[in-house]
Amino acid sequence: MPTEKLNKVDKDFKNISPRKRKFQGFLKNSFALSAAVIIIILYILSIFAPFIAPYESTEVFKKHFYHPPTKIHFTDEDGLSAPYIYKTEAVGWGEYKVDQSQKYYLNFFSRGSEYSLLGLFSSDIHLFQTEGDIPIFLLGSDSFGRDIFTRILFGGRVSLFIGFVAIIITTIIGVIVGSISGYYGGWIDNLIMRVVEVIMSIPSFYLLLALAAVLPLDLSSAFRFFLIVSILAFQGWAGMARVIRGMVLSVKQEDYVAAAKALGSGDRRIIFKHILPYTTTYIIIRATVAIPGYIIMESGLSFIGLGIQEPSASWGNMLSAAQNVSKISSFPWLLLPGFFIFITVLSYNILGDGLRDALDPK
Amino acid sequence: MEKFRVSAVLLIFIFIFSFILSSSLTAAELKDPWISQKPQGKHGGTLITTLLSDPKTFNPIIAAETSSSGVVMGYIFERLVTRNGVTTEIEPELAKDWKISEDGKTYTFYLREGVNWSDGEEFTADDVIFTFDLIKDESIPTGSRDVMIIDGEFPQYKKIDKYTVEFKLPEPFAPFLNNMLAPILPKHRLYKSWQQGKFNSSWGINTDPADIIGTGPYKMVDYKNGERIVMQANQNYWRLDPEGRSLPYIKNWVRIITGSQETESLLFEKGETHILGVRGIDYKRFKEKSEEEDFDLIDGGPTFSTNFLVFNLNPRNPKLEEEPWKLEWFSSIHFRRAVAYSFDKNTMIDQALAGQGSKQWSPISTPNKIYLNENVKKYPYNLEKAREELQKGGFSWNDAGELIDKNGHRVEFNILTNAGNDVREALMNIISTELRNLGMKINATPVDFNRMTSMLMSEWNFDTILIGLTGGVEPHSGSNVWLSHGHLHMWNPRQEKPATDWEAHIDELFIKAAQTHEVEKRAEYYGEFQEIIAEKLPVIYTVVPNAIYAVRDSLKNTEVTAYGGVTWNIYELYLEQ
Repeated sequence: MPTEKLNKVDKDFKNISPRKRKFQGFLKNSFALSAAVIIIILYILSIFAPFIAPYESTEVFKKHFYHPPTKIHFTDEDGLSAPYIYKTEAVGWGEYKVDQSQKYYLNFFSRGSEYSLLGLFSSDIHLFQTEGDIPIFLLGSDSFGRDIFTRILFGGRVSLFIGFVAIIITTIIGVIVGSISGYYGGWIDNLIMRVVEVIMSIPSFYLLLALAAVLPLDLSSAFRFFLIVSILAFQGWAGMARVIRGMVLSVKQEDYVAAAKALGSGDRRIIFKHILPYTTTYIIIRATVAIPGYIIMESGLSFIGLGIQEPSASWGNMLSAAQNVSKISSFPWLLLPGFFIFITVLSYNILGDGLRDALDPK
Repeated sequence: MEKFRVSAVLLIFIFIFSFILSSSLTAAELKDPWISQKPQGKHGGTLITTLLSDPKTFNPIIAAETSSSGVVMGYIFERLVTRNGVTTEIEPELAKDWKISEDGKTYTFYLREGVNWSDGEEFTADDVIFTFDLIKDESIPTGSRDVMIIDGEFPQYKKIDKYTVEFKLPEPFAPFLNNMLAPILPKHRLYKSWQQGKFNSSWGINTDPADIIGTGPYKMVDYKNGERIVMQANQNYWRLDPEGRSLPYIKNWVRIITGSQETESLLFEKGETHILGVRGIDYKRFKEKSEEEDFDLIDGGPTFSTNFLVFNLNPRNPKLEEEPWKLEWFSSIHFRRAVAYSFDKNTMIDQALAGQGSKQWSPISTPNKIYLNENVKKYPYNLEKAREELQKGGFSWNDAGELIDKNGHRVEFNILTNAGNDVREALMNIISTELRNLGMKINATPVDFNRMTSMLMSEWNFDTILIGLTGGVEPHSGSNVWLSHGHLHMWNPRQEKPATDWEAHIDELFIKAAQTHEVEKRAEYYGEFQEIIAEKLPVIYTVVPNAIYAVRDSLKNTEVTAYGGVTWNIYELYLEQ
């Protein structure tokens, strides 16, 4: 890059606020930007799942298990046409024949089963449905004849949001405890750090097994999983508290903190106004990196029977239902939830990288 | 160089070993051989099969789980009598014949003369007496003792002569012959450790394989935990091929311990093993492969396993304090029938068993042709009938379509099953979908197996459980389940006296059937018992998988059944080179 251009960029940067500069730096990173867009799309898809999906997540089409993705036709004899599908019928186990005698058109914004969105308003309008009672499986169906597209959208609600709950809990506790410990030091610091060590030494896997045994059975599986994750988060704040303490320790020696003290600011004001902003970068990056961890953990827990249980959907339990060579070779669309996990985790990691580059260019 | 040294050591060993063998051979002459009716095969070769998990012990009397007993029973240790793998009828094994006295109380067994243990010692009546001494010994934990006890008494047994043993029962007991399926152990090897009180730790998995001595067609050569068990033909075996040579044909038998069914399938696909139990989900793939490759798929028909939903009808359920109405629902025959009508067994076979299964209606396992009553009441899938039954039972639906009982309580209950069992989890899913269609609220949860059994056996605080039992041929073996005082009488265990008339009637039928020797008569009693269970539905049966085996074409003389599998007549099988 020629020096002339570099200088120009530098000059441009001088005229805008640091925050805006960071934001622009992030926007220039097209890689991270596209990851953010993908993540936003995934979240929108799962938030509006009841509207976008043609069915409810537990609706079964008994006669259509392991149905391959339905082919949507956009052309007919006269060229372009409104999208339509053909009916299929089972011929033998897991094999389907297409019946081309009649076309079934897709109806957009048609009425179907009722749902409530975000608990705010209820509706029965679905993005698309088919004429008659012909099931449409955009991404195929599973072993019980449930639409995988529908279940991926609904499963995303669990898989994408469960991490947030955990992150919020760990962050709040971790930041408060860490800053108190680092700022005051002395015996408070000593006591808190010993407690942190005790908490860090609890073996989480066995904690999980014990939890699974004592939780009452008639909780809904989403609520049970929510409980498990929050309890794990209550254990997970310890690591965060340690790092925050370290950062606070180094910041509180800075001149501007001494200045604030000299001006007579209270402890609370110094912690919240002058010290904690220094740690936001770390917190944001940590959160973006930890969320994929929780998504992976959810799939792992579903695998050992502690996560979301049937018939509720999560990407983890959908993927664990596909773990068999025969299933993967005959019905490869069962692996699609894995693809979604992959995309989400990858995007979050790229986003986290991008954010770090932009916010913390050290 | 290293290799050469090893083989040299091996050679020396073989030399010494054969020298010891030839010098100590005091083997008795075989007077009562059994001669194979199958075509003459070729001797030699190595059979390779798989085992799902490690055995916990090689001691067949203590072995409590099939992963242990399945390794040795019939292959290393034998019994006085056995059941034919095809007909399931009782046949002579170590006893060449037996006689039952007219009053049905005395059983005399005539042993095969000249049978040798794999170390060359002769098998005699002393070994049989020793084995039953062990079974009778209260300090030895064995499942064989409880079934022997008749009317609170252990049968008396004594040696008549070197080749004759006699059992005296306190009263006629037809299932007694079935109890003779206990493995016979060598007195000359184990008497000392029994006397020292160390029998319970004898022949554990750390024992030198050469010390494990049986009369069976194979002997243990090597065992590596988590890797494999190697067995070798017993040269002294008493079954002979048509040409008069000692069986078995196959010289070595290697059993690889895999740990997962997925690995078993892959090993077979790679051509490394000879036999594979094929799961329903893999059926289609293996069927396509079998047309091009060197193996066949054999459908042995429905297995002896069962899967059923059991209701908690136990008034001692601690949860009833809070929800006493649950017992009311479950006790209603209409409620149970409605649930039975909602079982869509075709879908269960398609989705849980991948199309390879059979429907079950009766408590006797489907392939048990001797005792199965096929005319019991059936409840084909019909949600309309289910709704009718619910109405008859006083249930109704509110505006939201939710099912409520006559006191206005919403019908809501749990179904539990053991986590990790794919078939049962799928069955549970199908059952709860249909019950939800009837307006019930169902909490279907897979739980840890131990937690489920403790709820079932001792805590009694469940609503319904989806579980399975593996049946045998002899219906009396299920007496701990079906008799009202039985420990495994799952819907209401250990009753002091029968809670209902029909349970009392079943108790009676079991006693009568145990005292009758004629098989037809017994089948009649057990037939009535099956009708009662199907009528009263304390448990509702679902579907059973079919036993499907993939067997290499090179393995000959096989006769594959759900009861015996492929290796029940291992001694007659041979490998074509």
